[in-house]
This record gives sequence, C-alpha cells and structure tokens, in this order.
Amino acid sequence: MIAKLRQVMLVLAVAGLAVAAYLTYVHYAGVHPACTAGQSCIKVQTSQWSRLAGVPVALIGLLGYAAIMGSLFAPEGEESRLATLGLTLVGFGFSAYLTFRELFSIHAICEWCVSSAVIMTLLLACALARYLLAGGPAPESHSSRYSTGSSGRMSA
Amino acid sequence: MASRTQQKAQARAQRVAEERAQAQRARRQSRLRILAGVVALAATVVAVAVAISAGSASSAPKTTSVAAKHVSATVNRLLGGIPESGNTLGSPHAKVTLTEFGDLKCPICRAFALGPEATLISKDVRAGKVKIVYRSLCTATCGGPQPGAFSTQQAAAMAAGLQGRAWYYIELFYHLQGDENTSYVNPGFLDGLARLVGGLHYGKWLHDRSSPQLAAAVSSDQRSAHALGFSGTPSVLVQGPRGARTIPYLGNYQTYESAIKAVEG
Repeated sequence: MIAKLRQVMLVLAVAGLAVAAYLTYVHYAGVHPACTAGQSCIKVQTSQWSRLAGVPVALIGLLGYAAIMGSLFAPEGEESRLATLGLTLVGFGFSAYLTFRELFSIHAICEWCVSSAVIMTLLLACALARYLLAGGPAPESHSSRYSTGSSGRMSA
Repeated sequence: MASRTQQKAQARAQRVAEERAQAQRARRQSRLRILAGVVALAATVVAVAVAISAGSASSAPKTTSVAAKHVSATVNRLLGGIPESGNTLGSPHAKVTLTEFGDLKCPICRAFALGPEATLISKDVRAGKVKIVYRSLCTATCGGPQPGAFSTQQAAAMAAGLQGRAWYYIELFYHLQGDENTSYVNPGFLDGLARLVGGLHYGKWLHDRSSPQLAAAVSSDQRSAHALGFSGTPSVLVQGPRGARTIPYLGNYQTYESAIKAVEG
C-alpha cells in the first residue's frame, strides 16, 4: 500500500512539475498562457500576487514540486516520509492562499493554477496517508511467536 | 490448577505484552508529536510567505520611495533621446505606427509595458522604424472600485504629453502601479508621478490635467477603440505602408514584430 502511494505521488509530482514548468516558461517568455477562460489566466499571471518577494510563484512552485520529487526518491523511511509530508503541507497552504486571492482579490480563475492546487491537495492526502499507514502496528515476530506457541501448547 | 512453570510463563507473557503496548503507545505519541511539529513548521512557513505576499501587495504604491527613484532612472534610460510629441513616442518619420489602447490601472497593460513594449521601444522605436501612440480604453479601472478615476488618470498622462513627457508619465504609472482592486489613484499619487518626471513643469501640468479638452480626448479614444472592435487592454493597432494589423491581446515581442514586418514597406 505504501509503495503504491509513493508511485501515485510520483505521478502527481510529475504532473505538478509539468504545470509549474509551463507557467514558469510563460512568465519568463512573456507569452500568454493557453486558457479557455479568455484573459483570466493572463490576469492572474500578471497580477501582483503572481510574485513573492520578486520571485514568480510559478518558479517557487516548480522548485516545490522538484523538492517533493526529491523526497520521494529518497530511501523509504520515517524521515523521508516526514519530509514529503512537510513539503506538501507548505505547498497546500500556499496554494490555498493563492486560490483565495484568485477568487477574492483578482476575481479571475487561472485553470493552470487550479490544476496545481488540486494536484497539491492530492499530494498532501497521499503524503498524510503514507505517513500514518507506515506508523500503524507492524506485524511483530514476538507476537506471532507467542500466539503460535500458546496455541501449540493448547492443542498438544 | 496451572503449574508453577505455567504461571511463570503467563506472567512473563503478560509483562511482555504490557511492555509492548507501552512501547507502542510511546511510539505513537512520539510520532504524533513529530507530526504536530511538522504541521506547525509548515504553518509557520506558509504564514511567513502569506505575510510577505500580502505586505508587498496591499501597500499603496509610493512615489517618494528610493525604489521609485530607481524606477525613474530606469524609465529615463529606456526613453532618453527618443523624440516625443503629445502621446506619440518615436520619430515622426517612422514608417510604422503602433497604436496601443491601454488603461493605466490594468495589470496586463503593465505586463505589456514592462515586457514586449520595452523591447519594441529599445529596438524598433529607438531605431526610428516604429512610433508608438498611446490611447485610452477603460477596462480594469471601470471594473474596479473607482471607475470615475479613469478620465482623471489618463488625462494626467496626456497633460504631461502637452510638455512632450507623456511616455515618461505612462511608464512611471505602469512601473509603480498598485492593486487594481484598491483606490490608490488619488491626487497625491498622480502628483507624485508628475514630480518624478524630469523636465516637467509641475504648475503647468497641474493646470492642464483638468482641461476639458483632455477629458474629451480620453472619451474620443474609447469610441475609436470600440469602432475597431477592441474591448480589452492592451489592444494594439499596427499600421504601415502595406496595411494594418490588430492584436487585441497581450502577445510576446515576436507577435508585434511579425505584425510590424507585415505592414512595413
């Protein structure tokens, strides 16, 4: 189950990386993003919320997805699972804030940004499940030995 | 009756089970503490990012800051030495005329001004190949909290044009543009921009900016834009000896360059 979750997260991280890479390219190339909602994407991409301390949020997203991917490639363990969870928590929190700004400050929705927010939400759900499932009561060799021993004695 | 050995084994099994349960409880608690720590750390990082983002966006643009002085220097470097007349930037003999319909409060116009238009000015306008005419079309301002400011802000730029300084004012406005959903366009902001424009006679500009002729010119620009079928900003009309092209959206430099090549003789 944990291995499957990791695979699903890798696919999600690749998708997120692709979306963020496209938005970063759009930002630096000065082209208008492909958008079915007229100029909504341009409005969001050129708004003052599209930068954080002068750095395009698309680039921050790109680095974030790359970091998540890095943590997924790290050897399976408590630390790597925690790192993934921490990164997705930050990504989810900031995505939620940017979606709030789209809805209530910019009054325009960028479908690329929404896709990224959805991907980040799914990544967080998977990362949380992966962390919690990994910490569940593991089948211990002591436990099986005692029960087998006990039943063995009873049936003898 | 259980034998002594069996009793001992049972007691041992019970003790081991209790120890194991205790260890599991401790491990679970420790993991929950770590999880809480990670959540708190993530929340802190997000809170800092949000504070930086909100802080930089909510502050009204300042025309007296050191940053504004740097912006002024950047604009001077971009426009210095290029002829200006009224709302036209570039040589009057340029074969191609690029007319931009813009709204000074529109963030997409800002992206155009700081992006492809800056390249057009540096390359094509400076070379004398193209001249750019600025005209007004209300979009972001009319959809924002102070639609009445549109005529005032656009006329303020046109008033600078009466002294051959419209483009300095337009560029400064775009560079120092605030949040389109706030009412930052006020006399203090407009005056501050004027004071950043080198060589502008402030008293004359202040008098001219309330001229009814300029307000009428802004209205006339809007009618022209609608007649061309433009409804968004920046919309661009490129005219030359071989015809005209319209670009009613934000393109990249190549978009405008292709249109220029198509119409120049």
